[in-house]
Amino acid sequence: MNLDREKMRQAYLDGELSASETAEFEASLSAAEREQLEGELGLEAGLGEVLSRGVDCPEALWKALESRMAGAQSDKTRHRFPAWRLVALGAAAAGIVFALGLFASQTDTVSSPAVVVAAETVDELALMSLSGPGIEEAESYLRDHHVEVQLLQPAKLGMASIHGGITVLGAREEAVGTDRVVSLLMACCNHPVKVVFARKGSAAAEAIGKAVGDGGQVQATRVIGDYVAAVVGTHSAHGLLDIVAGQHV
Amino acid sequence: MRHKWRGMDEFQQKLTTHRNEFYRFILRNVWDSGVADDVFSSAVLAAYENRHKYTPGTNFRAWMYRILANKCFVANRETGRRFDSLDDSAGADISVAESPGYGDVLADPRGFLEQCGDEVFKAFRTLSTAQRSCILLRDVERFSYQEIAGILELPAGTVMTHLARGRKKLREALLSYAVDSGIVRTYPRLHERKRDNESDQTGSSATP
Repeated sequence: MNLDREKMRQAYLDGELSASETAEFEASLSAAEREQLEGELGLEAGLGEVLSRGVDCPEALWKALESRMAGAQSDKTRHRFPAWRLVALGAAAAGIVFALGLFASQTDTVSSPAVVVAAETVDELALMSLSGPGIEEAESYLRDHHVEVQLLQPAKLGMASIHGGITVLGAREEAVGTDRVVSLLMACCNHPVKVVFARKGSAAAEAIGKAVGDGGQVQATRVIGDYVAAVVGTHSAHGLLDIVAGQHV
Repeated sequence: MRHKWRGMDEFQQKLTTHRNEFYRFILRNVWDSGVADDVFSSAVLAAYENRHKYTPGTNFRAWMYRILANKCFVANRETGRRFDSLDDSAGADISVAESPGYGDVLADPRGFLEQCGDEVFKAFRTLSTAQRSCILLRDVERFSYQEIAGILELPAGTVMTHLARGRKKLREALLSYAVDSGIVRTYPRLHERKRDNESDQTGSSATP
């Protein structure tokens, strides 16, 4: 069965097809396939029932949480400002929101999660990984997300002689607007950094280019094969772009 | 436009209404009830502190699941459960549908699951957090692909991949258990053999 057919089948099972797609798909089914799909539907529904069975939030836990929320609320009420102060604060806040709005409208690309390192520490960045740690796991994740690159051992990088503790923490897929990129999460000199891969010519690649111009955390970019790669972070680590093998043949 | 909650009651009411399903999502994701209590408390309090960020009238459950899912990812790493990597695609070419005995499973799926008992939970536990979350959000909480993508902050295509891989892994594990314990047979069922025989005869009669 080809990939599109598999996806169609899954979307059909999950009720994600439109009425016309459903009719078209059903018309393409043989009797045996139809019988099998009915079984699959029953199995999935059964699994849902089993997994939803017999779990309730413990009453004591909920009571404790309620009282903590009530406590937080009454603390807030006790420290409430007089009304005139609230009005003054509100006006000031409105001014700040307006100014931030103006600023944000000009810096959308810079604040896109893919072109900044949201983590403050290496540990925080490691927690954001959706792959296992290390080069092999990260490479496998990149491949799974259609980024076909081979990575070099960090110790082999030219920058390794002046930067310490270069390690691959994992990888993560992120969104840039409606497009997506895959980021290699790394540590360098105990700072969190990313190498972001976007397909050449894509909206994400364009956003990365714009982010360079906007003076955000994108430090350097390079075209590597079919991808635009960018080093992102506050720690200067341009040389991490060398981590993709086969660039200097 | 964001509105203020009318006091705490309205927000807390929503939390109270859905508390069991939220707790279930956490427990099925972290498994240990002690850890689940901590993660659930942390998620509920985080939601409460950030309640001003929720826009009344929008999907409260989806907003809450975003917090719950993030807490599960962090908890599973903090407690050393390294289930989060996308499993490699080894075996992805071997269709479960063609595995011996799977026909019996599909003939009576609910009976099969009943016989598997706790094995369902054991098998579910071996999935990655992302796979578990996708399956729970889809099969138990009935969210659409697009909603799940929003909750887990993943593209919809990735959600489909997690779902497909998770389901396949689950089926493989349950089928393997079922074959080992004799719940299903690995030889063709009687009506299949009859059908095969009939088609053989039709085929041979057509042959001169």
